[in-house]
Amino acid sequence: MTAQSMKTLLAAALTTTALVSSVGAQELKVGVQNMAPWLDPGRDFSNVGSQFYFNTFDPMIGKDHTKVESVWEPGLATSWKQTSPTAIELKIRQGVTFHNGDPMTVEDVVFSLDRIINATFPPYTVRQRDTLPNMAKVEAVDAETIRVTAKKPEPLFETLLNVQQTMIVPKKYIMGLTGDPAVAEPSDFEAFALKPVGTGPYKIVEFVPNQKLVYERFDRFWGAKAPFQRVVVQRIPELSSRITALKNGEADLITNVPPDQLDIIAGDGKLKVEGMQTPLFHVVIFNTQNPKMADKRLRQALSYAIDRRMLNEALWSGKAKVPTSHTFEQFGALYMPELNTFEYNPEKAKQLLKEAGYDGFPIRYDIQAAYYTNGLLAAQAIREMWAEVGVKMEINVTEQWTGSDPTMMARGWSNPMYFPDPAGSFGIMWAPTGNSATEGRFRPDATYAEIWDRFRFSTDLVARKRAFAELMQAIKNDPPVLPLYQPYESYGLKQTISWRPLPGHIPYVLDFRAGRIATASN
Amino acid sequence: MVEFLVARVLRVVVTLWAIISLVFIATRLTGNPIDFLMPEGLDAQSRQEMIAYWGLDRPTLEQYLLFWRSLMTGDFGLGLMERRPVAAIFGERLGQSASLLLATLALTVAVGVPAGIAAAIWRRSIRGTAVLVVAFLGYAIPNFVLAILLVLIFSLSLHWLPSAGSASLTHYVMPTIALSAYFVAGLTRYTRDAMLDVLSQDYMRTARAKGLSEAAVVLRHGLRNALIPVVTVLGLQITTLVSGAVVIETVFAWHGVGDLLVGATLRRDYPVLQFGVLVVAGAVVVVNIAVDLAYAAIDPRVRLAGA
Repeated sequence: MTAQSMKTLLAAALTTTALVSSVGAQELKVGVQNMAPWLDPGRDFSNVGSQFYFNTFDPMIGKDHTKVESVWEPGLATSWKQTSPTAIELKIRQGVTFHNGDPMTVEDVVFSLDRIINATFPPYTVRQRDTLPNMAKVEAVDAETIRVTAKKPEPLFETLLNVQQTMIVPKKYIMGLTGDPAVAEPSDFEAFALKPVGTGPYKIVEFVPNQKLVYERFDRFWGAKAPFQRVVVQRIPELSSRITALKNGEADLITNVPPDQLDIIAGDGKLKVEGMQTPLFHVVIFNTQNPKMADKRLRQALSYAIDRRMLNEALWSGKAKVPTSHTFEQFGALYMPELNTFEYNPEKAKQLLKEAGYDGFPIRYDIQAAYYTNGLLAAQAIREMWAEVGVKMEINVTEQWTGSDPTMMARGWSNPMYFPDPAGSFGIMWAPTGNSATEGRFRPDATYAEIWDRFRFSTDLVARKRAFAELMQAIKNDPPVLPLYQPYESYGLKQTISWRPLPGHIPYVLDFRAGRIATASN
Repeated sequence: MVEFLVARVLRVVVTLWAIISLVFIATRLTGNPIDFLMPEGLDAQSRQEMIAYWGLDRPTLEQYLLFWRSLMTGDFGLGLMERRPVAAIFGERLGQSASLLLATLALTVAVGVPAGIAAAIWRRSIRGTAVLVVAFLGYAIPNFVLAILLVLIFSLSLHWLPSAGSASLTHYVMPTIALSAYFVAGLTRYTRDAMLDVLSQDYMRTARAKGLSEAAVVLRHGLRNALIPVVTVLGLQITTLVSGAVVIETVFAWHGVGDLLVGATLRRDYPVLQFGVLVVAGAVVVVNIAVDLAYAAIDPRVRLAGA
């Protein structure tokens, strides 16, 4: 064989392989920055895991995710009725089958909710505390009906029976995974997280933790059939490698594209970008309990001194959203931008600093180097803005969580929306029993706790709105937090694919259900 | 020989114990993994409960003793992040790393040794210089730069080769070349120098004088005597690659040991780190012993004595 014919043969072989791998009709290939280490919707709260659950699991109460506000739809429950301020009854859908072939019964539903409400497995106890602390018990009324009972009046039954944490899982399958098949042991839950089974339109046929996930269409799904036979999700941690994979046809869709890379993708005729202001705030937090930071006028001044519109223009090309209050559009009636809790006013900042007697001591600002897109850049810009009003800032790049460190002064952080209600975002972080209070950097007083209870447990919407406004006033008066912006989360995809992130989901959900994604070829 | 092996194994056991203990204690001094393993918004009580669930609330000494007790029964523990046996986590990654390592070794030997011999034989011609120049380039160019160049040409321009993952044989082409270039260059130079040494020896003249063909002279009498430095270089190469080729793994989204170890370090996933260090240190030690044994096989004058 001559060198020339050898070369031709090699070229032919390589081209064929490339062509064959790009055909794969009915298959969607996704390149993600991070793959989950395990998959159990009940215990997961992370931005990584939440990408993947909605394709495989169903909640009791569904939602129209194309709408920004909450519009409830039947899910695994076909109907529901609140029988008292503290109780709701739900009729379960008949003929639903889990991916392993087991029929879904009331027992599965009771088991799924009870494993969180009465958690004994520590990872579930965490979710019981932050998501379902008001739930008392769940029981089967008859073969088609379950009843969930709350401790105090519960205005958020629908919301909480729609969240990822209350998606339905198979009881018999889980208990049979390890040890005694009649008992749900911690090892059963750990095993389930590696071999998850749900009722959704895609079953998981291969899961390699931190690496790869393969979905396959589940033909016995109770709703509209999944549009793809297979979806292969592969972790490509490096941004430029993800973009290469997209341009080279190895991926149809990639996640986590920062704003400065959008033009590179949009400039390629075969590709496009989609994005959304994601319901999550990048925030600055203050340690109100550090004696140096105790004067609320100092913290007010630091807040007034930050020009968030300029941060948005400079770091996000204006695509992020600067909030006036700790509120998301997803809250529907409780979305209250008019409260104007946070604003830019450098003159007021200077005056407050003078009143507080700020003597020029440096303020340490902790930030993780690469955790938040543009996080370090924002810190550097804030340092200049604080310098404008005469405040000295020292940036402390640390991989350590310093939220419970008494020497912490200010820090970059984020406040995601875990479910569409102020209780599911502001509340997770800033309720009297939330993260910030339990870690000791925020000390809400009895009045705040009283307002919180009125906000959280009133079944009257007007009363809730009024109480939330009072909470925001308390935050404005003695600020522990300043939301900077809602980041703009972008995706790169082939021109032939119609998909976009939907505003009705929590951040990062990759929704590949029927009607949510289509390709030109199928 | 037996005496040599026994002495070496004893030394290995002490070395591994020291390394593992150091890693065990040093990682725990740097802080707690919970901040990297649990998302934001964890309340203080839940935080304590999760630390207890992972067994990290116990005193370090107690954890250390427990660690050795389970190690004796072959239990290396569960990864904190993935919650499954670390041996299984490593098994998955090791397969991908080892196959890439073997491909790299094969390419290195297949190209480096002949190139070195050629450069030695052609030492006074332009061809020999050309080989050396190419080798110099391979030595000088950082592997990630070469990797990116390959991706630009073969993925982005020609669309011939896939750039991410390890799903097919074609996925191996670019990472193997990118990883090998540096080692091919090194091996070429070492082989050339060793061959030059050998070529001027009296026994080479004798071999030619007794009428052997040039090929037989070079390969049987020349190369065999030049192999010692070559084996040394290969040994070093394997030990370098065993700990994973982090940068190349990142560029090509290759889920190998390097990626795992770096991730485990960032997240302080102690059990994964401990096992990883054990595996890497063990591999280095085994390769070193194998290199010593190879010396004896190549050169009968090398005697292995208990050290």
